[in-house]
Amino acid sequence: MLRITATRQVAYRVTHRFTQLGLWACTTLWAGAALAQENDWTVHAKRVYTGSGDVVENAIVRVTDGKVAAILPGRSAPQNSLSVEAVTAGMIDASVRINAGVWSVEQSTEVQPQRSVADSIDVFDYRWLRAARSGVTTVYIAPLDRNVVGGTGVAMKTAGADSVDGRRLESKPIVRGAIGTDPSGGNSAAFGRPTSFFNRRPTTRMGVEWEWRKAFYDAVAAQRLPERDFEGADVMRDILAGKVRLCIQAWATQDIRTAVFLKEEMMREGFGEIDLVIDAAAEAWKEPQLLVRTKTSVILPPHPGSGRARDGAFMSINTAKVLVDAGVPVALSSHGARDAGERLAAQAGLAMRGGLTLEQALAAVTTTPARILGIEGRVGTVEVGKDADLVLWSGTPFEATARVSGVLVDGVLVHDPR
Amino acid sequence: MIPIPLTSLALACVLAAPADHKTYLSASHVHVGDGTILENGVVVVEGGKITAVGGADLVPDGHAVQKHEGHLSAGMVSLRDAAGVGAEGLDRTRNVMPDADLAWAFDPKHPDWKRLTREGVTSVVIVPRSGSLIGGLTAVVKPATENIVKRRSHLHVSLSSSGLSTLRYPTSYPSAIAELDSLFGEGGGAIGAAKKGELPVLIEARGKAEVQRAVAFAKRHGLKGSLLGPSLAGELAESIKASGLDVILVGFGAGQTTRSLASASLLSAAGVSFGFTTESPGRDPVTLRLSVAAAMRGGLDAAVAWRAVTADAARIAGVADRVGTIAAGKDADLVLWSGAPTELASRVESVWVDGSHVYDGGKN
Repeated sequence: MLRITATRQVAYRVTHRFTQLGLWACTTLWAGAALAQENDWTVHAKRVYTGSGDVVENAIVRVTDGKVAAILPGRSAPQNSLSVEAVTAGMIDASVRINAGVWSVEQSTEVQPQRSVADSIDVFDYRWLRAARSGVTTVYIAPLDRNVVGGTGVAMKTAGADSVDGRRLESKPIVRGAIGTDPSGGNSAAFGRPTSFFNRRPTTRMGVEWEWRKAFYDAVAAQRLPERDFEGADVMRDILAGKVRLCIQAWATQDIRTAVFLKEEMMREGFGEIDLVIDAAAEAWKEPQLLVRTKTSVILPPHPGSGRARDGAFMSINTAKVLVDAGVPVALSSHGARDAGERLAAQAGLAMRGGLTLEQALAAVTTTPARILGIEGRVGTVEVGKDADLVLWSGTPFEATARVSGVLVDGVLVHDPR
Repeated sequence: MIPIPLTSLALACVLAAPADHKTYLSASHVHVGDGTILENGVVVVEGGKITAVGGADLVPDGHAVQKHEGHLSAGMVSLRDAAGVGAEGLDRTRNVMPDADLAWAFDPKHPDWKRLTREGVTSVVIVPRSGSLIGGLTAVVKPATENIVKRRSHLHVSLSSSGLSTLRYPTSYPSAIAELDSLFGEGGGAIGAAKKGELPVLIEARGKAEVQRAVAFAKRHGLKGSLLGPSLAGELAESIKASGLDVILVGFGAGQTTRSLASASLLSAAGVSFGFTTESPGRDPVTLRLSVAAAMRGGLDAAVAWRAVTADAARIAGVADRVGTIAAGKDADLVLWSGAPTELASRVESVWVDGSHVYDGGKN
């Protein structure tokens, strides 16, 4: 914005000094350029990582009306452009926890796939800007993992309109649930709080798994037996029909296996084929073939320095590498972590330390999560016609010394590199 | 000021003018409530009502006038206080009670009310305590004269986390909103009256996201009324204005943030009416005047700030025909101040409610 202001002032001065010299038209044009819409920009980068396999050198990315309008290679930086070392598409975090506080969790029932998280999102939370400025331009806000089947999430931009609907992206509906200790560990036993409903909830992994299977079996049986029906049964059937994607949090091997075996059991029973994504799959590196066999995508949590993740899972530094090599679609995530070192750009760097190439790491924070969320038509690559969600880098992306120096979301500069 | 012979506050009521007898009050400055100030104004009181407001010419020759040095204003209106309601304001076993009538919990003898009277607060909206989805029906009361001005003045609804509990359904915003949508979809009783626009709602909403949801909720169900407790409402003033809702701010304290102070000015600039509660931390009855002073410090025009605790508050409470300004036909709820009422150093020297002299500045 500084630059625009400066240009406006110059234009103003020039207008007043030279009007009588007949330069009126010229200066008006100049002022007009400076007063262009706030979602129109010219970005110049030494390298543009398009995300579709190309690296375009010395390129201009022209942004018009919030969309990428042109990518022109072999140019020098024009005046008034945003000039940086590198440009990638905005990063996509498929597992964040912005605003998903205690009042987003409906604790009275374990299975509530019909419930949308949208009404618990606070677009005024300061963490949105923090995420946007770190280069994350699209996120998937899911229910917290305190329920077995927590509900439907929302894919949305991290900046833009002051309303959930204004930032929302049309995506494939995704129901999120959990396997492991999250939906059971904090529940009280039958003793202690006789007036509350906590004694109804699962308190063990066995109980969690039972809730999952009961929900699917009841949903199928309810078509013939009305007494088995429950609120959300139709959504469970949509999951079985593959119309709604299912994202299950499962950190440890035993929980990843439970999720995969659940899918296979539903297929064996002839109930349908679940379109499965496993989130927080820290131990997925132990059995990648299970994921390949069931065509399961994974979202990885941030790599803990010690390797010790939650639920007793151990996350190897080459987790992403092992999975990508096996052919499993892998997205990296912050899993809601707030530390800078656990944010998405840093995770891509760590995944490269674990063996991913730059291109693979970039895919793991852009195109792969875009496909997992079903929003690849709009975001994930730097491509003409797509949303102008761009990350401007001070060096080679994901390198420890490179920083996110600028960010555009829908063509609006939310982090100014100048 | 002519000394008023009083032996005790309890006896103060004897000063109430007989029904067929007019009392003439005059003060150096009479704050009528519409922004005008009458110098050496006269207020005529008869049968607990104000019958005329004007200059000295209102007084017939030879008639006694109670002359006061100082500023006379209408009594202030608090848009939420639960003194004298206490724990009765919340039923912990059920969180949807649209037809519960809080007027039944009004205890006019509760000692806490006196503190409000002494600070010039003469009308109070009693509101169910936060903690329910639908808390019930509010009432507008005058504790000093034990009068209930209006029963069923609003329906109290919560879209705030303060209406949620982790121990019973619903524990989350999405479920609470789904539950409220379902209840308002069915209608009936007080909810039906609210949907028809006959009964205004007080929608509790504090954070900005809660305000957004509350505004959307009111729009979905065609509700009229006010948002209760949104300290940063000014930052959403445009959408609140479009919704037609008024705003009830939690009374300001000395340590109010500049953002929430600016919020009052933003509301005013957008043309949204607002008033204040006296339920600030510590429930200090001086809250309304502190709110006025703080809002003025935040840039709000003095007349607008004063209206927020008198005329605008009365309108938001739904009792503008009775209280909030000094005008013929209104209740004789009057406060005599030692200086300008918006000046924090000014003291309350006398309070009349329904024409009864209920406080004499602590002299007796």
